[in-house]
Amino acid sequence: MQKEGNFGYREAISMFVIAMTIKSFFSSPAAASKLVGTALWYMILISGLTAAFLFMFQYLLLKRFPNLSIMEIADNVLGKFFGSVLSLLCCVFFIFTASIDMREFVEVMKIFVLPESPPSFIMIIFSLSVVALSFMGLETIARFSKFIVYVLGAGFLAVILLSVSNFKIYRIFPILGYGLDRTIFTGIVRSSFFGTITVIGVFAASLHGPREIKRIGFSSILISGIVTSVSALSFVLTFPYTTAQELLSPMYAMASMVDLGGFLQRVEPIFLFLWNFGTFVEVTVLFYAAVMIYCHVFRISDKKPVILPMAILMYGMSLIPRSLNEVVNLWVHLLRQWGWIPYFLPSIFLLIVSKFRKKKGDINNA
Amino acid sequence: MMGMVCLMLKRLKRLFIYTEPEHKSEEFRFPEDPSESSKWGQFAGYEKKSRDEEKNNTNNDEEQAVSNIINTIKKSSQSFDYKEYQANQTNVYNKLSSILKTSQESSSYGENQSEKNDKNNKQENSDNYKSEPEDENSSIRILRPKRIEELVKNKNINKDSKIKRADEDGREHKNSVNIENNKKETENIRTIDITSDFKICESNEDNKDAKNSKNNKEDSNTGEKKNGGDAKNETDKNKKGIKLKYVSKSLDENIGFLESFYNIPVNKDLIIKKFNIAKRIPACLVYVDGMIDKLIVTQFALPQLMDEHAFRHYDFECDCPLDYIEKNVLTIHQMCRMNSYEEINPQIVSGLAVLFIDGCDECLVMESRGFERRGIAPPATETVINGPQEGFTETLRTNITQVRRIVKSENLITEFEFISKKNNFLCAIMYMEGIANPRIVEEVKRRVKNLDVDYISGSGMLEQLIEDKPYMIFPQIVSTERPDRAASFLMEGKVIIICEGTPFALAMPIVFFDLFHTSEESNLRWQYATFLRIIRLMGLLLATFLPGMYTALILFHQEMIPTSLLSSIVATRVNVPFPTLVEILLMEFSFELIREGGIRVPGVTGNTLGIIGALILGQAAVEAGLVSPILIIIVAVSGLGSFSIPNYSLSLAIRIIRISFIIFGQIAGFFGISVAFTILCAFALSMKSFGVPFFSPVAPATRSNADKVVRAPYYEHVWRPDWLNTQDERRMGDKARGWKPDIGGAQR
Repeated sequence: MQKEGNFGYREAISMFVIAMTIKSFFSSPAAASKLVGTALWYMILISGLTAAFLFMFQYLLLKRFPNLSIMEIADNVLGKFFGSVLSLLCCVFFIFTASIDMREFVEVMKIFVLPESPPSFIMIIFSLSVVALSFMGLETIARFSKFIVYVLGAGFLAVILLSVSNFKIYRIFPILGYGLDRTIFTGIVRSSFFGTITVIGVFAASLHGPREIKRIGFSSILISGIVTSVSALSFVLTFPYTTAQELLSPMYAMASMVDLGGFLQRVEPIFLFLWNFGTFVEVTVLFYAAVMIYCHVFRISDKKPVILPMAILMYGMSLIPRSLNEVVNLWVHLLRQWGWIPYFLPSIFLLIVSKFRKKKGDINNA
Repeated sequence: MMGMVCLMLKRLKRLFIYTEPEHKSEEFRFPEDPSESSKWGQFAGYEKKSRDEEKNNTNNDEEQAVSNIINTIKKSSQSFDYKEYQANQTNVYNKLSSILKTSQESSSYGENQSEKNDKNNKQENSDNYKSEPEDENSSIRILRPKRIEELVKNKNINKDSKIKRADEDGREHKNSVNIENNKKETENIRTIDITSDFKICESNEDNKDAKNSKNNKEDSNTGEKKNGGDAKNETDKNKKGIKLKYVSKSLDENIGFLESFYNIPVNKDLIIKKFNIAKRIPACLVYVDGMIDKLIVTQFALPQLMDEHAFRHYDFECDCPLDYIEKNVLTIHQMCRMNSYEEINPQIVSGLAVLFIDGCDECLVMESRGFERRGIAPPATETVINGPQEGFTETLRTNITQVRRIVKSENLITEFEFISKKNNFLCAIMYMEGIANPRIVEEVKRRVKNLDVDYISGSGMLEQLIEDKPYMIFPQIVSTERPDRAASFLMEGKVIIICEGTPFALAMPIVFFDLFHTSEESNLRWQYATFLRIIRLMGLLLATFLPGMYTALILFHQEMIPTSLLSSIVATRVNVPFPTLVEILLMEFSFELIREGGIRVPGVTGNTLGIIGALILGQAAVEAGLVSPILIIIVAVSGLGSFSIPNYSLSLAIRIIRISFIIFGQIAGFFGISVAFTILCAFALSMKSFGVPFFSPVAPATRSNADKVVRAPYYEHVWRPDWLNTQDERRMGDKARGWKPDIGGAQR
């Protein structure tokens, strides 16, 4: 069993909430707005409910194999070879997701803040923080999340509250958007928005048993669902849905519209900090999960030598998309639309196979 | 007869005049074996000998001379002619006295011992005495003719008796004289032990003596096996040729060892005051000049010890009067008995006086420290308006007393530990038994005990040696100059280390908020304390981020600056020829220079120089167009912020971190500052102080009182810090304010 030091549920919830909600600061809400219109804010709640339902299978699996990580369960259920193959697939998916998220961040950053800097330069600086956090281990990542969650929460509330003057209630209508069925279907499909919660399976050994995993998982989905829904509602109220569909980062745009008393105006640089810290956490969580899986598969006890090569790999993968257009309309769209398969299906598959093969972990470990 | 005298003179001559050795000199042979290369020096005549070896050789020559005299006497006694014999004896003793007078040894042992023995034999031998005048300076008593005669007779009678000699570390030499006669005779023989190189091994010596001697021998054999500093020390002693691990019964051996150990007479600091206890028992008091309170020695130790009246109830037949002295004679408040030189030597150099008594295999260590010291003064680095106004001093005992005056509890434990092996640097480890986590206490002691350094100057060096991660920029141990703060740390469950020679106490383990708090807040009402903390937090944030933020704003995020302010800034920067980074680094460097210069310049001049320098420099820089006025404000405000940080180490850390934020702000604006902050957090959050995460109780979140930034009313501080895992978790009862039952200590 791989142990990365223990951390409490507060740290874990902070980490997963940040990792999930940060997507709402990028292009995803605008893309979803294209599909459901003004119904975006509750479509996200439907996605959250779906993710919670799918996460339940993972929880059942982790409960069946207490204190084992998802990689160990895969080895146990499928055998070392097939288990390793499945784990490696998850590893590739996580590192790919991390690299796409990083590229999306870099592209948005380039547009809004650093227009003259080349993406590779921004990515190198970005990778520095990811590597630093990963070098210090999972415990430090969790603590960092807990440390900055207050700052992010305060910043998020500040942006929302300062934007209240721009809210127009009528913009919420038509409340059903493009139709309830479409909203529900899109909500179910885009449950991958909360798919990062499945990383909890990789970190299971560092948490205090299945009961805490259950608490962390469902609490994280609930909190991030509410936060994301509130942010979606606020920008639906701020922008006409036709305009919102065109925005690359609706929250950033919302922050830039703040103008109170002539002096307090354009507070998007404050929002920039939320953006940065949140993305650092999200990418680091996915990146470190990939590192952990890789080290498990190849039985590498010390992760530090793996981190730098893996970071270079992530950097290389993030350079694959040729433009922002390709990042947003192809890769991010694919990840949101079909991401639920690699996020949730392995756990369901392992649960079914373990039931079928009557495999079970040591209950005494629970 | 004449031949005998000639022979004797010839042998005595060797003591003073160099003569060629009688044996045939060895021919020079080129050493074939590399191990023989040491002979080169011998053949070449320049073999280097240590001072101790030379000293031993001199002693051996003297021993040989005395032995020759004895042999001569022995020969003369065979052809017994009384007149001739008497004349011969007189001659011999004249020669012997001349040898002894030239001896550098000035032990009073011989005199005292002979006095003691004479007391028993005075009556029966009085008619045979031919009293020799005593040399008062050398304190050497010359052996009487009759005793030598008896000695020689005894030697003839006891053909089987072995001749033994014990060297100073207890090892027996083959040529030492061991006369297994009756006790009286043996005591007489001991009177020739005047050069302190002879020791007559008594056949009836007690088991303890034998044990000590054995220990000394064993230690000398196993000394080289010891590692580290011990082995090095052993080697040093080996060089000097004198080794004693334990106190010897022979006073001369002890004195010899101490003289060798402390390089006397080259070293003038150590005083070995020889005297007779009750005018009978030879003893000496050993101390370092200047380190002791002379009043204690001259008024409360020596007079009592030398006074016969004080010993009127003492039975002088007893072997060792130490017990009697300790209980009945000395009025010094703190004394203890020791027998190991490993323990005694650090005490001597720490300023304690040590009493060695002939015949005792222990010594008495007396508290007599009385060196010059600074009085208690207000703390210079942690001034408060509301609170105690006394700080630690450089004296360890005073500092411990100051803490004890505040923490009046039987559970306050103070343990002493010598840290450096050569410097005998003493520190006190203090903790509250029943509150402090025993594992933390053990860990602190383990780290302190396992230091192997020659020199530690104070708590600052000790801090660096025992902290968890030396490469982390934040301090992991807090140092305080205030006894009240040290006491509050103790009551929280922390461990305190106070070092001698430093007016600071080290507290561990700590978290970030310990560096952020001051002792003044405890003495203020919670509203005021919270206000001060918020101000201080703002100061901390400004000191850390303001210059970096300014750089980022000017270069990347101009849209955030209101238009009027932006135009003003731009107008003032038009004439500045430098880029923002150079401009701000220039000012930061100047500011640090003024600050450093102000500290180094003594007294009031330093402060004046700092203020005037800053004003003139700033004004001149603006007028010269080197920097913009807004930058002066930025640097000044960040400097004021750094002054508000209560911990000096944290303040220095922030000043260094600030530069990294400026550089990252220059590189990538707020994004760069975010990256720098994340990297800083990654390191800081992984940091631990004695196993406690540095940012507890925030990350990781643990149970705590409302005492981080906002300080709740004092009666709500129910719990000790959870991250310390104290044995007693509560620091107040359920109802801290029992007079008001509805609002008391918080119950959780």
